[in-house]
Amino acid sequence: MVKTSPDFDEPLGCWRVSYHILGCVTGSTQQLYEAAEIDGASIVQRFLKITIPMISPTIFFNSDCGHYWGPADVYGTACHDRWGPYRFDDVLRCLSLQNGLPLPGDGLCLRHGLGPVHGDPDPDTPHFQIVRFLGVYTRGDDKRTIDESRALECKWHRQSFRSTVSKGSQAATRRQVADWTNSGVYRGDWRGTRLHLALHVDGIHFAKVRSTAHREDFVSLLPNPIVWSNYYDAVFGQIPFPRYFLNSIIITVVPVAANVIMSSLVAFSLPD
Amino acid sequence: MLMLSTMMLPQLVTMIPKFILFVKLGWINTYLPFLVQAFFIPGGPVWVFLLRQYYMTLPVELDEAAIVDGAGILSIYWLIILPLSKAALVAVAIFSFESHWGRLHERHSVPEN
Repeated sequence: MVKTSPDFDEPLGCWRVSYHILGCVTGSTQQLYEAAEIDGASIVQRFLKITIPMISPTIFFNSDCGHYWGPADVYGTACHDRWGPYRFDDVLRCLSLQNGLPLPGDGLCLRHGLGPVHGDPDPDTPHFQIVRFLGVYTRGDDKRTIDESRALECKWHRQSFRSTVSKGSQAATRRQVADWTNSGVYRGDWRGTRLHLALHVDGIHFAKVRSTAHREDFVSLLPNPIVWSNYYDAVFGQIPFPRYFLNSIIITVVPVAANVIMSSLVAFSLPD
Repeated sequence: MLMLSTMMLPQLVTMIPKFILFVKLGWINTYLPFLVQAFFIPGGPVWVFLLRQYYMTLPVELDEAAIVDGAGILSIYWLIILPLSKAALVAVAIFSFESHWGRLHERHSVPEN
């Protein structure tokens, strides 16, 4: 597998957002701006009084639905869940996650990672270290073993199920949880989900920290204490992070060049 | 129309067959699936369609004048169409970069060997 650094795709999402907004602005009528200009409105006034009100539905859409669907995206979530190379059976697991599991309470929680995730996150995987690199995982709890943290998670989930699942489906759900717990594949987090949905903070952030950080980490949004050496460890540590980043560049730039050349030639050859 | 019909097939449907294909070609654990794919399937028909729509706005008279002057098809492409379509090409490059960079599940569905 060509290992890449998927963490760095998100800043580019702004292209999508600006694309929506641009389409909305250029779609609005030019006459409004002209009229405002004749009335003596400055460019700032035109922006505040015409552009912003006109694109407000777009802004709403992007801020609300973006955050809503972003974490609900099964692929994104599952990819971030494992923090590692994505294996073939996980593709299938993803597809079955979408439909095949019982819904305790509300569906979003399920989509948001309340499903079996393959294996344990290995603290030495590159992505785990990248989490530290991003400054998210800085609590120093990493001395806790995987088994301990999983035991805590399972305990927390049992409590969570008791309080949230309706009486009728409780038994079935509990059996399911027991299955997952016993087979050692059950991981998930409702609290992060609900916190995120309640606050509308960046869901991807929670999707990222969810699988590797411990439960207590969700209580505070800011790392405490901030451990700057993690940045150094992530770049110059055990993982060849520059290599992964270079891989990302290679498998992005070459296809882009190919896209431009080939699609332009193909488009030119198409009959009118 | 045939080209546009390929847009109706979701990427997810072709993901697993493509994976099987790559396994049989022995391309796992290499860059090849990403690179070769990009040349033969130029980013899906979206960019082709976008550019084609742009080329259709260029006046045919330019082509005709070039033909009168003795230009072949490649000269027309290189000397007339390409300089006029820089903006569209840049747009394609930007959006294609964004789409390639953010294409997570495809990257991760090519597994470790």
